[in-house]
Amino acid sequence: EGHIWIESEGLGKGCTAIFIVKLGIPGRLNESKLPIMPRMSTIHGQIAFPGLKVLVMDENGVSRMVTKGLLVHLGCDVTMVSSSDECLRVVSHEHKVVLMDVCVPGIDGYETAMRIHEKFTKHHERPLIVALTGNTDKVINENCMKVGMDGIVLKPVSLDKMRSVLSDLLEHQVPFEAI
Amino acid sequence: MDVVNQLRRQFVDYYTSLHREGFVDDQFTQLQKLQDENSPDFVVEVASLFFEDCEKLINNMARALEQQQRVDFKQVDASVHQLKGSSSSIGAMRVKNVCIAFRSFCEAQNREGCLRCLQQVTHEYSLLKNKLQTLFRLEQQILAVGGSIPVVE
Repeated sequence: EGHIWIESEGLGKGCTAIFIVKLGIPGRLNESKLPIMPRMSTIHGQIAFPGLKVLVMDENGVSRMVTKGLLVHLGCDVTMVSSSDECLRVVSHEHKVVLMDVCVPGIDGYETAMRIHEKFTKHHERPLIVALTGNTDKVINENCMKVGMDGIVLKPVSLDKMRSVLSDLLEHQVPFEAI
Repeated sequence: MDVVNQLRRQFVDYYTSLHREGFVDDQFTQLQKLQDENSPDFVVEVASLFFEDCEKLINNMARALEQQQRVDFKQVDASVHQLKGSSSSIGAMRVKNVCIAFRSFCEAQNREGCLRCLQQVTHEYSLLKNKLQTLFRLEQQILAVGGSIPVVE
């Protein structure tokens, strides 16, 4: 629904293109009615996420390097941090996903998730938060849900698992532009 | 059989034996998948980081356990937890399994048990280091004769 037209004062005077479109108001839209346009593409027959900006928080250097390797292989643009302070300093609306390790003593992943929620008051700007954990038990699962995490992944993470986690996460969200 | 195929055969056999003997698990195979033209040395780099990390953590554990009285088991456990995390992420199965037992001894504040695990973990780490160095050497030999490294599923 809409019109588009061009107006001009004449030759050599330039022209102006004008359009009128009907847009929806975010917040009043039922997410299930939105077209599902996950920012995925296929490379060699496999789903990949070109340019998807991901922030990884993990105190363990080896595990951080492996997580980065998985994400880079899937085309992501990865930033790594090793503490929750650094995470809160660095996280921005450009990051679409934050992957955080929640089972390392000394890093309070739960609190970090809550602070991320506080920092991004507009829902569509908030990065998706996924917990990476070495154990799943009911308590950890419940805590993750309570603090508003969008997903939980059991470590170690295989390539296929990382791919399907990202793809599931993105499919349930409002379409975004990968820069 | 020409040289390239011979070396490739050797590589596959050696790789398979590492799996069979429990030195590495499926997670190690995942790392191989991440090695490509953009990250040609990924596995070697992660393995090197792992071994550095191992040495540092083992030293921390040894120092903490040296105290005859009032061992800080929380400190030992923190290092074991890190090692368990690292070994799990690269698929170092035997090292990881020792860490699991090690953590129980830390929880029970059993110094003897911890010392035994420390010995075991040191042993497993050296074994794995040698095995992986052999594997990487085979890779280099294959590349040197113009071959490509087989992908073992």
